[in-house]
Amino acid sequence: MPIRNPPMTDSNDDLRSVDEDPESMDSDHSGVTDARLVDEARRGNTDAFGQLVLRYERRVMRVIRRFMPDDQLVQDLTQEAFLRAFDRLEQFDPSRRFGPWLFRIAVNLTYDHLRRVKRRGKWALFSETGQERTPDPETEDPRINLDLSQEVQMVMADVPETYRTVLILRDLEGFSTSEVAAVTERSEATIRWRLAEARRMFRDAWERRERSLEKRDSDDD
Amino acid sequence: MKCSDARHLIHLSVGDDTLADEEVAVAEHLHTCSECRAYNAGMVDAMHTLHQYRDDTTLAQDVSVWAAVERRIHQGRSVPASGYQQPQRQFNGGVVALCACSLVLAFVSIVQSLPVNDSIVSTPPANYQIDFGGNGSAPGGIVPVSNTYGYGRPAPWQNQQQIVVPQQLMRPVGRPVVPMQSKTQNF
Repeated sequence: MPIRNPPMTDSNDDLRSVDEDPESMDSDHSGVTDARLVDEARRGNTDAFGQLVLRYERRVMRVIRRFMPDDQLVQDLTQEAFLRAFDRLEQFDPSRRFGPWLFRIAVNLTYDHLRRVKRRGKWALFSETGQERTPDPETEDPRINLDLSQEVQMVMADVPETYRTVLILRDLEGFSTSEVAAVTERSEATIRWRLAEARRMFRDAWERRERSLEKRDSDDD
Repeated sequence: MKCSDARHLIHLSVGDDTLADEEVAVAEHLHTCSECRAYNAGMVDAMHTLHQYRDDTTLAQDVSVWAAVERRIHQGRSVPASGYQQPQRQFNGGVVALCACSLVLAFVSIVQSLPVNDSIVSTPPANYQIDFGGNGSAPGGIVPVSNTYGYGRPAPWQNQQQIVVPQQLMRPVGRPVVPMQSKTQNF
């Protein structure tokens, strides 16, 4: 099966065949490499950084979108990721690739945001979320109207953070295992192990959900 | 190959993440194990669902964040994004109140456990009596009821140099204490 979003590298160690895509390369049609643009951006050339933004923004948005459904928030987090990258360009190691570094910033930022939201709910003394814990039998179950994307997102929320990242980057965004390793700063062996575990967890969660739906349908009958 | 090893490889093979020799090993195992064949089929279905989700999701393709990023770069990031809030540390009233209560409780517990300062004694303690003199002797002040403290040990006041009790003012009161030495001799 061809990968919809090919990786950012043309390295030979990728286990999957990839399609050619300008977004996947270190340079686009202009022929300017990421390394050169980064170098110019570090000297204060914001236009060079602008080219980097235009080159990566769609993929960054797609990755963040996998973690949260709110489009406006996705755009804001994308902005924030690029701003943080711009602020930290001095810390970037030019001998390494810009793409994984940028995606690492974006993923970390996204998780920071999700944790903050979760923590805010956890420590709140008074929360309104508890009012609807008991479902009203008169109202229709909102889960019935969920489309596939929402259902998969709900199931993926059950997968622990560490494994979810690998699953999203590899199976949904088409990063190679070496790229996922670069983004998460882990070895490829670790990524392969986590990938296998992540797929098992997703399968288990998906089957649990299907069983609960079948049980509900049989109860309705 | 054990089924547990085969299933680990099945998780990888459904995404084409196995090496060539691993793929052969999985195929051989699936040929002989019906349970793992069923497991593999379920895994393929789950991956199919995941790939459907991958292909279904669409984003607004014509949205670019560069204009906003550029504006914020030139303005020194003074303009925050509309929905995203910079992380800010703020006081949580409930947590602060909880900490204050804990501190007060700890303080009260410490104060209650402190030893009471009884250096100023207005009345004699139980083991002392007031010597008013008599029998031709001068008043001796507060004196201990006995110079023995039981079991042959010296009484606490005998180690205190502040109280000097003349021997002639000692007046045994009550039942005389039998020294430990004489008790042990009875055995």
